[in-house]
Amino acid sequence: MTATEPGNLLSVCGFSGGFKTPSGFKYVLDDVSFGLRESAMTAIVGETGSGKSLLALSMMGLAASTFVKTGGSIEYAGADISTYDDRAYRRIRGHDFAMAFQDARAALNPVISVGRQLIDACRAHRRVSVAQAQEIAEGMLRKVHVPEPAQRMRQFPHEFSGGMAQRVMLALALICQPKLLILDEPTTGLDVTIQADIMELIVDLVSSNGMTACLITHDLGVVAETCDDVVVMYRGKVRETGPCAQILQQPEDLYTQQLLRSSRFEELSA
Amino acid sequence: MSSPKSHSPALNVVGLRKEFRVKRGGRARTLVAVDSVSIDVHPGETVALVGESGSGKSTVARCIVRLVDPTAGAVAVHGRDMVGMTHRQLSQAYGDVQMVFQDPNSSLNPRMTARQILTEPLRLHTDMNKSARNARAAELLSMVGLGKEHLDRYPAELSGGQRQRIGIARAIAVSPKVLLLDEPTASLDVSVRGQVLEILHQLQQQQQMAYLFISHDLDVVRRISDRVMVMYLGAIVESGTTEEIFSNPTHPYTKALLSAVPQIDPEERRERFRLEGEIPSPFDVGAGCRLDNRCPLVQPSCRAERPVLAPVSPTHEVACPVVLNGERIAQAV
Amino acid sequence: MTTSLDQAVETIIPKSSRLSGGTVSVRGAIRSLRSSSGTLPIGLSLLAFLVLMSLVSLIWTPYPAAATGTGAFSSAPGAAHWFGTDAVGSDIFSRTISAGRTDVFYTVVAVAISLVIGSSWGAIAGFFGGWFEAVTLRLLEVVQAFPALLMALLIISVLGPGTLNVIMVVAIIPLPDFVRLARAEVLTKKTWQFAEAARLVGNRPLVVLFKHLMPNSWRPLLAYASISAAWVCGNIAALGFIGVGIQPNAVEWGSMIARGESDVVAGAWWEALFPGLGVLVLAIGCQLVGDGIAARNRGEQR
Repeated sequence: MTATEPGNLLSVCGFSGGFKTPSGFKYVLDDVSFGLRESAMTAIVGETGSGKSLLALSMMGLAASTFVKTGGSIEYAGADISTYDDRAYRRIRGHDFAMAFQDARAALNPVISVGRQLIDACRAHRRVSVAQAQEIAEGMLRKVHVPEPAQRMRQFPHEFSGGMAQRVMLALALICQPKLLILDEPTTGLDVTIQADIMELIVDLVSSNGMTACLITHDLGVVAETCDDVVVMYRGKVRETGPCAQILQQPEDLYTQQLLRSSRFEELSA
Repeated sequence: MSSPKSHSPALNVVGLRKEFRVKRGGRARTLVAVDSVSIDVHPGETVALVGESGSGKSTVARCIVRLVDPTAGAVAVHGRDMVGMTHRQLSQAYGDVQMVFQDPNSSLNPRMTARQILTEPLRLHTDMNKSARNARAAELLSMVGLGKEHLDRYPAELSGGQRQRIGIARAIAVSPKVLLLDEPTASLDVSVRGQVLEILHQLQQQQQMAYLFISHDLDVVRRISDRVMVMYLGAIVESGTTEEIFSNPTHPYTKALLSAVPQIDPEERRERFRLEGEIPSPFDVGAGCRLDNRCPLVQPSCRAERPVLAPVSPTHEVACPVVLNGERIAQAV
Repeated sequence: MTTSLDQAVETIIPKSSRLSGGTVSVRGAIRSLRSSSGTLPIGLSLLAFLVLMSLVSLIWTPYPAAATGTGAFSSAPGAAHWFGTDAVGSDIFSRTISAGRTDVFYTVVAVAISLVIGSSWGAIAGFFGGWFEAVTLRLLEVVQAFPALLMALLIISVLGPGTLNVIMVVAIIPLPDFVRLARAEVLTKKTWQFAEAARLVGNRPLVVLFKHLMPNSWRPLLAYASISAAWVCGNIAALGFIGVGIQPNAVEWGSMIARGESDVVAGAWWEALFPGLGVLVLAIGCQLVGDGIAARNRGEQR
């Protein structure tokens, strides 16, 4: 799967990098190449240490300052954004790219009301008045199925349950109508029934807006039910990429095969 | 409830209830975390306790070993009542019932080596001398698939899967009759999960331990348990054999839960049975069925009276009169 | 095959996370100490210097520390008397380094008493809760409402001066903070699963508290002990200065400062300066050590 194919909104090409540690340089990402197909949902799957979260942060330009890129590029709109400094990234972030994180209640600002955060995000990228932004914010909350949006706008993140907070986070990410939505384990830690609701919401929002989405997860069931393409990572390297249906039913790579066997409990004797 | 077995149950819980007194909005209110829960687990059997947040399943486990004192109810391990024991008697009783904790990162003392962690229960429950204890510690490590080189390592020097295995080794060190497992694989990667489950299975075969497996992960539960009990907001809403629960989920909540689990293979997927809204606050549980504000099948009678467990089959019970009436009508037809 | 996959999914994030194995053992702690930079080595060097100085004074001083009339009264620092002499002719250099023994030793003793009693009290209060904790908290509030030195003076005026009384009083001042700190630590760690596991293994509750929980809290307690040592030595000197210290005219920095205080106006700056420097160096050394430990705790507990 070459990275510079047309039809990709964003392409990662041979991206490598790592951290300096007391015992030398540790590579966390090694020659990672894949593409995010436009208007499709791509899953990046891996276990602990695969580097998937760092990859997502790198795409957003949010990787820690101690992260050192050693090679490769991230191509978007004809430019290599991995070379962008923070100021350049700020123009893309929010407007073109948006990200939803794992623990929504922790990721939202705890001392600012939810409504205020939505309004601020809206007005940062669009020329609207406060009143207009308020209406847009309420509309977003309704779109993510938060009941009684007008009231909820005045509340603070800790007053929301885990599932509700995740919906707020999605509203926040989508309020500026980004082209790319990156979701880093958005449903991990939530109850099973809530997970299913949130994933349905995500799929619905993504497809109705024609957005490109990148879902970082370790749950292959979620990938199978919601994603179009999948990138399998192990220890900083890409093991296999391709359409979901193909990879999950007929994997070619040994690690992918082992992962699927474990997920299906095929290694248990009883 | 269940069909009589030849051995008496290793773990026998009857009518367990746990209330917490909490200050909410200036007033003291009572939170019922566990309401009238009864469980039997026989030697060599695995019973799974399934539920989402607020279900009370972890509280049940802690009440059984009295890390938390139950408000009411009886708990008997290997025939001995646990609820009335003094602290000294409890310390001894912990030779019969043990627990494997969820988080391998915080369930091991960071300042103790694997050797110290494993020999401590031996020191407290047996009169083995030092060399015997060390030998047993090495034996325990090999039983969970680790080697002698791990004996003198600290938890920080081990991976998550290895830590969890030490936790299991510690729990089985004194060969308990009953093992409570509180989400033992929740924090582990999928590839490590299988190994840990396999170890648990083999140990159970060898020692005929009774397992109470607490989990929210239905895939795991389906593979390793003999019976399943589904909990919601502190009460058991359905209980039956694994086969029955997964092929014929009867209670609306069980149906909703099973249909929400994402599956890799399309043939395993179920049609989504939806409940409205989210799990309510445990303070707001009314007099009727706990699910009354979310259930698509709700009737006026549901809000009036709390449903009790009633049999669908000799081994399958459900606490939902609406569904049961429907079943009887279907069977009568 | 299976074990390699297990090793394979080991995290590759550098091991600077909370449960850092490197500093668990004493050997590991010393090793990481040597490689660290910043306030900790400086503080330790200062303290080491003072201890060395005090040890030297045990075997040699230019003049006997308590002797009077060893030279001209109130003479400035010079070849014969490196720090000069005071109003009764005692050699200030000898007295300064000898006083180090007193001040350093009593500081350590007072802090140790405070640490042990305070931490145990706080740990038990936090672990068992109930009426004991409630009473403890109320007591703390009462004691901490008084300004520290004032309270020390009040107690000393009742008990009278003397070594034992001074140490006791000076130990009481930081005690409430240790109680609070230990209680906070226990409250946090009580809910960690290893505490539950320790009970479940069969240990009695008190054993769980002191053998499992408390040893994991030594870092914040040690950091605070170092910082409070700075205050304690200041308080010992202050009491000595006021005159209710160990004994009047004791070979102790506070008393020496008192003795030299009145002569400063006459221009004899050396009499109070050097003992003052002693207190300063001890206080700074303790403070730096405490800061260093606290900073490393912060780095570790990310």
